[in-house]
Amino acid sequence: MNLLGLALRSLINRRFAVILTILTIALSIALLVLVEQMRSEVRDGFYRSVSGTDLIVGARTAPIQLLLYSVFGIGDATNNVSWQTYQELAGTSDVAWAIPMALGDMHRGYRVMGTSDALFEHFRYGDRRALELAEGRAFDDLFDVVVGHQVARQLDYDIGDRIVLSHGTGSTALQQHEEHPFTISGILAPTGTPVDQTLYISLPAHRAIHIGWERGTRMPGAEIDPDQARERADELHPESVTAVLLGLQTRAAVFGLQRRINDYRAEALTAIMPGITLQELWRITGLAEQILRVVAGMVVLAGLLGMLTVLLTTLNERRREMAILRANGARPWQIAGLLVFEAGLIAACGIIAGVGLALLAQALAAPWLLTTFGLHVAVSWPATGLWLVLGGILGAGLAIGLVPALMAYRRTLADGMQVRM
Amino acid sequence: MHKITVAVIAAAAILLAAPLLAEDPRELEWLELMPEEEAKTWLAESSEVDHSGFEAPEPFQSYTTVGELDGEIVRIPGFVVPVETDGNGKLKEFFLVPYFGACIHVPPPPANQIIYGRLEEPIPMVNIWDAFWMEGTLNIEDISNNTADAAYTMDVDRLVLY
Repeated sequence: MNLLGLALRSLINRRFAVILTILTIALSIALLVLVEQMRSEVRDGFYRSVSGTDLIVGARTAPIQLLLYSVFGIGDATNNVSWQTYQELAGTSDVAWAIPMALGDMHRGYRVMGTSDALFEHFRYGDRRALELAEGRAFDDLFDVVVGHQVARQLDYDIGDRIVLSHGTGSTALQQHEEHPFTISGILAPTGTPVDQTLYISLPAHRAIHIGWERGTRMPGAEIDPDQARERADELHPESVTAVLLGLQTRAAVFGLQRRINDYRAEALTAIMPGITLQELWRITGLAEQILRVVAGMVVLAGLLGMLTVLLTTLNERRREMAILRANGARPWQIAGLLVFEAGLIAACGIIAGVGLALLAQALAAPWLLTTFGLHVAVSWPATGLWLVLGGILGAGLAIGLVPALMAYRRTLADGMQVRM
Repeated sequence: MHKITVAVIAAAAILLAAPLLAEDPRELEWLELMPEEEAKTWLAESSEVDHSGFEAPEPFQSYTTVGELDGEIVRIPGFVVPVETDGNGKLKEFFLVPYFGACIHVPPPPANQIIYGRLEEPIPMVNIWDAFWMEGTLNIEDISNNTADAAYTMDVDRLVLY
């Protein structure tokens, strides 16, 4: 039997300690890989969600806040943009298109957005892709609703289903807009962005369901009758919209317009360029990411030290084994090599198991992240940079194996031949 | 990581081979992008900003370009304002501006002090707080709409830290 076979059998003989060591390393590697994977996936998800939009305009607020509630459905607006201002913005000569967004209603935990046909025409995501309807059509009747892919899938909706929206942004609906049921007219194709978790209604419909709510709660009897609303659809418009996405005629005009919007005297507004605001967001989250990385690195180090401990403690128990190998003609360097090989094997198994574990955790967490935060996290193969780090960890594992190897190299000859009790 | 290595080697090769190339990128200053007479007026003028509407005239806006620069290979320093990314968060199109972002005390640079850069191959997102040298072919693009008729764009070959 060759030396390699002996080494493997020796490991199998000590399988309990070895498996535990592999598990320790696997868990630490899984943490490291998960932190890195989630970081890049979340960033990609955010970048994918908005494309082709030059400016996002909302009431005066922090730029990051505006970006989060307008595009990503995270958090709520503190104020709205008045209808007059929206119209003036949309009519500005620099502006090619404007997508209004009126928020504030939910349907079974999903956001409802009042918007116009401009959304289907001009909204872009990913690599400048337009929204596509998988089934049905956009708004036709006043009480038509177009639902995102996830909404339709999770709630098992089909074209023609009638649904009721609820007032407020809580996930449990106590106050319903039951006077005005909506009919699903279209289902959007999957996008991998927050669009999938959103229901879209027209601005007149958004207005219609809020007639009678002017006092902050529903005044029974003050609601508008659906048929009456349909007749008046042309004159219905909300008092205000939450945010407006703007596309410009000339991209170079963006700085000037942004400045004019931010300086606008009639109403306090904030205009942001999504690309810049995302980077500001990364700058803030970057610190937390850095800390997570350091923690993950420490855990990996602890895992490797744990392996060293196991190797060193078993070294004493294995004096006999070493002595017998030596007696059978194994050279000291072969004994040393055996220990390095063992360390490398444990580290390699730990890394492979760790990456597997991380990918599994990512796959399991993906649906939860999608429904809870609207973050689309794909299970992707780790980037090249991460593989280099993992290679480095394997190298460190081998280097750690050198410690017991050197000790064994020095001891094997004299040690263990004479049994000391 | 591999791509970066290749890029570094390629960059080193270009640097070494640079003297052999016929067309060396010309180092450009931002004011050279503005027609000379206009630059004079611009520097002389200082007016109050009117805040009453979105259409209010800006203190100075300039969409004119310097014709001779069309098609030249140039190198110019500035800050990156990301505009478009590919589906994977890599930078595809951006503005290069002479100074970094949110300076709210003075008006933004006029349109001819901004270059719209397009990258043939998207690159990993860069830091907007760092200055970069942008190198490539400068173009003057016709835009026919009511606010402007021409603007600078660049087919960017390289974007390196300043």
